[in-house]
Amino acid sequence: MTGRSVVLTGRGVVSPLGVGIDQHWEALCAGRSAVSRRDRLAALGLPASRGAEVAPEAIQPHLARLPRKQQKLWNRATLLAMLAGALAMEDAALSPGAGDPQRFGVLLGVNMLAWDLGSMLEYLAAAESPDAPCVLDMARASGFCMRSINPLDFSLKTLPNLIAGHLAIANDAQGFCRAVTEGHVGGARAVGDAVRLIAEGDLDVALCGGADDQLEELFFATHWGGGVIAGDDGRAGLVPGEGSGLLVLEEAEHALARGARVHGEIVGFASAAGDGDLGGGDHPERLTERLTRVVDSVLEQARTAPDLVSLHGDGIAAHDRAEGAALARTLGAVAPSAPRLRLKEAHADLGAAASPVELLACASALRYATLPPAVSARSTSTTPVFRSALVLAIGLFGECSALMMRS
Amino acid sequence: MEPDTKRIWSRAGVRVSVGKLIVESLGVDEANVTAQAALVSDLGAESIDFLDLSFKCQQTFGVDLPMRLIQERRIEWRDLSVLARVLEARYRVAVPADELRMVSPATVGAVLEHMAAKHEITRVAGDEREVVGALVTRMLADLASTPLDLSGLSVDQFTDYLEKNLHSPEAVEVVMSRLTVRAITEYVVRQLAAAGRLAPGA
Repeated sequence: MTGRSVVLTGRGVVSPLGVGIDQHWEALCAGRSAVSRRDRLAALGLPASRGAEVAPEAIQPHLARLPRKQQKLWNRATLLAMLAGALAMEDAALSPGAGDPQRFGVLLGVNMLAWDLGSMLEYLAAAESPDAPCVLDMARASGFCMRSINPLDFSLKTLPNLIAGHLAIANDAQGFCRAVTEGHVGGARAVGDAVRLIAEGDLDVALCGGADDQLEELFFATHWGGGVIAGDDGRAGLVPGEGSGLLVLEEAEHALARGARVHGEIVGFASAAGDGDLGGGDHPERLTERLTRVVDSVLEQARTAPDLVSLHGDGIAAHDRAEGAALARTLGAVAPSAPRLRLKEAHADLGAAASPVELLACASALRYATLPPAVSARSTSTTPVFRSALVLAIGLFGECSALMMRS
Repeated sequence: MEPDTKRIWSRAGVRVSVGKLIVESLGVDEANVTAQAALVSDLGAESIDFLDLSFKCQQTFGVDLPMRLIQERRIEWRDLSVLARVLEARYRVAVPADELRMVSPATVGAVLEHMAAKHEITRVAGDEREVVGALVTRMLADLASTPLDLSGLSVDQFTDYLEKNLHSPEAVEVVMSRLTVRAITEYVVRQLAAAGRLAPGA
């Protein structure tokens, strides 16, 4: 990459496998899977019920890190993000403001409006015209909203971009605050954009990554309708999960000057917009081409081939095929035997949080020079030394991103 | 959920429920929610919490907690529109609040000097104290319908603050310190009684 070097100095993981970078990594290495039948999803009555939740008992011991009163303003994804943010800042040994608040920013991949299904159904029933079934009566709807919806529950908890704002306020990041709503590549994009802002000198430190709550009934039901959720009967698709991965990225000299512990350097990032082809099934070749371009660009920036590849691997058939084909074209000659991780098999698809969490798992793999066996597609013996990892992300509408990290 | 506008409440029931709402809204320990605790200075309430608390009061008691009214009154004092009305009543001269805000220092003495120079009012001995007194009386009357406990608050005490500074932060602090747990409870009780929803003898 051009410009200043950007290093990883803080790691915050809140995943269905555990809260904390080490808890997450140890669970991966132990071959644990956090995917199971979720009663909440089964209650929707669809032939799909698998997902991965961050267990309440994993969150509980950490709640004291967060301001108690503020928690009433947060939706689920915000809680997960605030926790990951606190862990990342602690890991980086940074206090709020990161030294100079004006040079410290937040970039967060988030997903969609979260509206509790029960509340929405209550609203729809109250807003239905008494004369014409299934027709919304605006006067009744407005009346219900004014009387019966707590403004804190509705506006503040549904807007996805507020999560970045909460993070920026709590961590006193005054230099930049941006929510990246690009579905499943949002987290990768937020990390990549943070790298660029630091490399180009706009920021010295960024708290970046993603947060998502795909166990929301509305997400699950609408995405089942879109044909991208895995069925209990074996229908291919993604298994949804919730979580947050946040990184503290820092300009290398800045990190050095304050004696920060460095866990790796981000040496490449590229991304491409999608073409709107849901699930990639209609134009698989286009997706392969875009992904190929993105990976080629990252390899060129990094000037090295990866020793390790974290696949997007969300279980959507067209995505898996495009990913395989793009990697054959780009790494076929330079890194044919680099091990490939399918991390989502262990913790499900964490949506906008997926790439940051997977990048942090790669940081652990590079650090400990080991791979979690259950999710590694190739033998580790061919690549005894891990110095670099490539992390791929594919969105539901064909957008894609890649990040490269070096130890 | 629709607001409950039917239930008959006892005073003790209101007290317990108000306490619970405050614990929930402000994220504080129940032990700190004493009758005399002030929401802002003791329990850390912010404007967004009042939005939550007002909604919860409406849902629980069917009683509107006019928190916005307190905010609006504060703004009216700060922008000196209350002072403009007091001056108009006394001197029969309508001076816009914007003009009063340009007077420096922000004291009634300086404002009266300005009025004498620009609007030809006649100053008399002791007029400053009288105007401040009229201003305070008006402000306290404006607050009578809000959930503030104004008992024992003397016009003189307030007059001292405002004589020195029309934007006196101490005056605002004194008013807000009267927004106590007891004051909110009493306000809800009064509203329920007026609506015939307070149990007899309670």
